[in-house]
Amino acid sequence: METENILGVSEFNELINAHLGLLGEVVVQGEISEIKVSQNKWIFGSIKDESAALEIFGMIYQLGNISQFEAGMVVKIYGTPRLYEKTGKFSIFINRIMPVGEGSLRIAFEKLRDQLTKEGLFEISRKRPIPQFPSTIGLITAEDSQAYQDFIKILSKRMGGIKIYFYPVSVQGKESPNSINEGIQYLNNYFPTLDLIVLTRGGGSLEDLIGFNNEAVVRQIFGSKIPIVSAIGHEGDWSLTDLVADLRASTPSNAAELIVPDRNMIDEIINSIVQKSKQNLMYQIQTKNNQAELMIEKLNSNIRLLIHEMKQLIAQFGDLSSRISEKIVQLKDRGLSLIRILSNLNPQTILQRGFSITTTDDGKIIKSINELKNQDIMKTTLKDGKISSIVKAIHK
Amino acid sequence: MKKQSSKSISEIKTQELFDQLESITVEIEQGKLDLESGIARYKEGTLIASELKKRLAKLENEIIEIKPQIE
Repeated sequence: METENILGVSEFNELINAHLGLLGEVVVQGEISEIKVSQNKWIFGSIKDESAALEIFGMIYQLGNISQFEAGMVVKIYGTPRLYEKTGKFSIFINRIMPVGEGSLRIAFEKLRDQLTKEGLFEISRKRPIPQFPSTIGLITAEDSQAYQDFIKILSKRMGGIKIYFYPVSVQGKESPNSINEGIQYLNNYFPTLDLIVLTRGGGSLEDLIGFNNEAVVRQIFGSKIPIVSAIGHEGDWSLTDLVADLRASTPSNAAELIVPDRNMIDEIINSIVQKSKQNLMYQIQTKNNQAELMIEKLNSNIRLLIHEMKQLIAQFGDLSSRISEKIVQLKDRGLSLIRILSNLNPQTILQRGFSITTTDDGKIIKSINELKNQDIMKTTLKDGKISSIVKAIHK
Repeated sequence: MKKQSSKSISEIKTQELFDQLESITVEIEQGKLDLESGIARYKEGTLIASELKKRLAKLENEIIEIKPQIE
């Protein structure tokens, strides 16, 4: 008779758990029936399909923010099945949870976007300027991808001499968030002097772009010390990395065009700058020249005025001089006539004309016969000498 | 007037050279410099412009692929 192999409840649960452990990680897809957080530590809930339900359990520290998940959303759960030995409840322990299908992804995307917007991660004011002439660029994209080829091709048509540090990553699938995160972290740690980082890939569905709408990646970009340019997908289709990046480009080619200037355009700008400076200098020289000419003209006209005034003065002086000459002649004539008069009055002149002067013996001029008597001596002065004579008779 | 640093023109970053060229243009345009200083700055500007043009003539970019060590 066979011996019954009786197991205790604990033993049974342990045995089941050991068997379940052999399955390793499984992926289960279903619609969330319920999801809630307990004490900000644990996640409880369940997923279902048309005919079955499954309990789910996870830890907040491992999964992070799960606020974008809600009932009705289809998710893929990467986890390990287990039996909670204490209660015997079966559940799947969540390692990673991802929305599935455009609808769920859209809801998750919008919820996360709204939450990060509230936190201020997309604020325009915190965006850093992108250097006009980057010389070192970090490039994060998939190796041999169309995005890589487009970016490099367009870049080669712009200004050259740029060093591109290419960090290949997975841009699709569940590995992409970690892969992108590592790339951003690596470039920040080992190439901190890069002018900027370009994170790029071509367009795709929300499922394809899972790495670019991932919260951890968004936060990594937000914390990057190097400015980041995000170029994901097509025009009008914004991912969360586009929103958080310092600059958003619509495509990989557009990123190359936005970050590196066109060499012909720069050449034209340089020419016009130099030409403008030259014209300004020429204008200044011309202005100074005009000023100098004006000053010379002013000086000339002042000199002409001075000469004119001097001529007038000289002419006035000439008039004065001739008037003075006339006056001198007049004075001279008058003087001569006075001299003549005076000369006529001179006794000597009178004597010259034949007159004589008679004086007494002691020299007194005799003006009357009464001043003499007979036998008086008198003296007569003529023009050429003197006569002494004695009065013989006096006739009245 | 800005003093040129001791490093040679070829060592200065393109961005810095372009900024210098633009500031020379503004200085000359504002007419605050006397004519001699203006001409001297203009000469500096033409040197910077020719260095920038030399850089523009570079066609090739260098791509360095990073292969991080897997820990």
